[in-house]
Amino acid sequence: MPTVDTDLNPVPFNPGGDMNPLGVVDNVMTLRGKMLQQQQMSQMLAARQKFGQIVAATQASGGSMEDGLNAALKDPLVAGYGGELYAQYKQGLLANVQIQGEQQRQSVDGLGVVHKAIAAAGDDPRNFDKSVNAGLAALSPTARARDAEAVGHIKTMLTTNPDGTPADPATYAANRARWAISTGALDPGTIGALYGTPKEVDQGGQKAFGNVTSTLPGYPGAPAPGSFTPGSIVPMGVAPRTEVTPGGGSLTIPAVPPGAANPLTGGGGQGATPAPPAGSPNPLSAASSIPTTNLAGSPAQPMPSAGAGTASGKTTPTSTFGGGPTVAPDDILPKPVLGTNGLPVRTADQQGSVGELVKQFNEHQPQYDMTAQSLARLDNAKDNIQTLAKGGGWMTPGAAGAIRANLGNVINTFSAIVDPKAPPPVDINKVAAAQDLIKETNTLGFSLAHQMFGGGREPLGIVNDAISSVPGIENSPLGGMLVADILKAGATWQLDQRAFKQDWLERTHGDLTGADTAFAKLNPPSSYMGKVMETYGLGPKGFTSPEAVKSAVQNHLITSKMAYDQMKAQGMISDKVYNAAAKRDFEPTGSQ
Amino acid sequence: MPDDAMNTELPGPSAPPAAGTLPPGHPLAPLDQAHQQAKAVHGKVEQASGMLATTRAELDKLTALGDAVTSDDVLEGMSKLVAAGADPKVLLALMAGNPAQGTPPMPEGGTALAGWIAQQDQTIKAQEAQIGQIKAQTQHALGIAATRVLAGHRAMSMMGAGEAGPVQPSAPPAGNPNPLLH
Repeated sequence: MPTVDTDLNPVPFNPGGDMNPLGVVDNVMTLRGKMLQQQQMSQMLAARQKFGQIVAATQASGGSMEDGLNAALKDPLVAGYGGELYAQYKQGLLANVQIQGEQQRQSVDGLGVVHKAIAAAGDDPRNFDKSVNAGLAALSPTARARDAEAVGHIKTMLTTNPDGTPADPATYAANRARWAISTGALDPGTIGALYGTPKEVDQGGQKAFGNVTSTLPGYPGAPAPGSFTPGSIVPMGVAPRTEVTPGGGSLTIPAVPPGAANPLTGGGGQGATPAPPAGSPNPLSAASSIPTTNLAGSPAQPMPSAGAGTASGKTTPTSTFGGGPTVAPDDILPKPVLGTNGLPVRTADQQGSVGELVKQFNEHQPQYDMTAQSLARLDNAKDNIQTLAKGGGWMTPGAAGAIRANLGNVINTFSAIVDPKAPPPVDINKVAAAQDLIKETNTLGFSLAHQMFGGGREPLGIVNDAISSVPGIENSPLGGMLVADILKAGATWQLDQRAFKQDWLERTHGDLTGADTAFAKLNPPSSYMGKVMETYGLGPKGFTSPEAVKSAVQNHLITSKMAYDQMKAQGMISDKVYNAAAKRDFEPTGSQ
Repeated sequence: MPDDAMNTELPGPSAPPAAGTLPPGHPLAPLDQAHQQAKAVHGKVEQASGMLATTRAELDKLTALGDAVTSDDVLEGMSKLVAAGADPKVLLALMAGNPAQGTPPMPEGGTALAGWIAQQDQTIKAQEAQIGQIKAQTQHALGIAATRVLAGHRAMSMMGAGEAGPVQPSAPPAGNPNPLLH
């Protein structure tokens, strides 16, 4: 029969034996860890207390918040936890600045919206419209309800023709000038008085221009706060200036001292009340500020009205080089299907390709900037070439130009050493022009490489090739000028294309499909180049007429001998004329 | 066609000032009043401009008929103008002419009527040119008045008056029971 052992045999406690010793150790370690955490928290609490005490004490003794922070971070107890506290403090400052910024944006009123829109729009009335709408949307609800109607009236005045059609840029500019004349609201002094100047804010060691403080209450001659007389409105001063009238004449606006006649109300300054409407109930009399005569006393031209540009009342901007339109006609723009929310409805594939084009467009911005800058450099290079070519001589651009320029500099330097009172043997203006041209050539080379390849890390070989492709002192005067102008034409083509695409982008809800092709078709690059050749009187076979040759000589682009050689080669003059001219004119000229 | 169908006259010195949206004692009330008046005048001019546009449309239709135009065509066109808001008395006076001033009545039809229409066309053309200039001026005056109002608001907020919002209806004075509650 089986037996069952019912005796209990408890296992004796045996630390260090085989009774899960790791579990015990683990428990002990956990306890120790918790004790350490508690100790650290106590230290942190103490550090925070001390941090606060140090900062408070420093500020109490006249130090700034930044001084307090620096002092706290030098304390051994606080330093270990100071980073976290410092970051928290900075985060608080940042939030504060953001709140201030939001408040500042919210508090701008309708006049601010108009001024900002004028500044942002440039000469494009469509931009003004967009900026005004964006500005109104950012106003506080109360300010918007109060000012939206008046802003709308100003918008209509500036951007709409009397017949209701949108104003073109020229009309917009004329309207804006008339508005500025009538209100005096756009001179810098006025804007400074209205909007103040940025105030430097100490954000804990970092200086920033955060708050804008108006100078209006403390403006020289303005009333002290609290003593403002309603009706005088803005007793600011206005600087004298000359404005262009719509008729093309000029109108001198005299200076208005602060506190004197108020340009905004037309009434007196401080303490004066504006003329009540009953005094001039016909608002047309208020428009008497529109100049009806020019300075010569003759009637001013009527203001531009719709239809002044074309029969349709709209003028299409055209390229100064190619003559083609720089804005796409409506009929070639893609017409996206718009959804109920007013946004285009596109498939995922369409959205992808549209997005890719916009991405590429944005990525080309640095190249566009570089191209825009190169225009000024090319003009400078042309000026230098003309300076060097004038009068001929040692510094004439051409073969070994760089060596000659350096040699000219060396000669002048030696002359100054040997006889400081003697005039420099080589024209110092020409030496300066040559050095400037050499530097400009290098810069243009880098610019061209960047413009063509777009990376900014082009191999040296490419940069050298690019340098040899831009106008330089090694080119003949005519060659240098031609290269400069052809590069200018290319740069202008790119800038026009960019503006064309920007306009296209805005009018097609972000779809650039076909914009490149359309621009190239409307403005072929050859038309830009052709304009340059035409300017110099050049055709495929050389100069197109004796007048063109004469003009090149008069502009110091070619010598008389070159001119006669060229005319003889092109059959413009007979051998007899050439020989007579050679006898008369081809004597060696003095060099400088 | 009606050379007096539209009134391009603007309120003169005797015209009462337009009512503003601010109470009389408000510091910006004069500016607001001027703005409202400029707005009213511009509205009138726009109205007149619209009437001229309607007149022009009807006149073009009659001109296109040439010698085939009849007095019925003219009446039809004028009825459309009346429907658009033109004063029928003015139109009738135009048709009747004013022999004392040498203005002949409207001919019955044919070449004479076509000539009469051409004469009205010239008159309307002159008025169109005039209304364009007037509208440009009132539009400008409205923009200037609006700028002054905005500048006033700006100045008020800088003086610490805060945002001078639209005037809210004031609460009934104490002791004046609300009739809706009783």
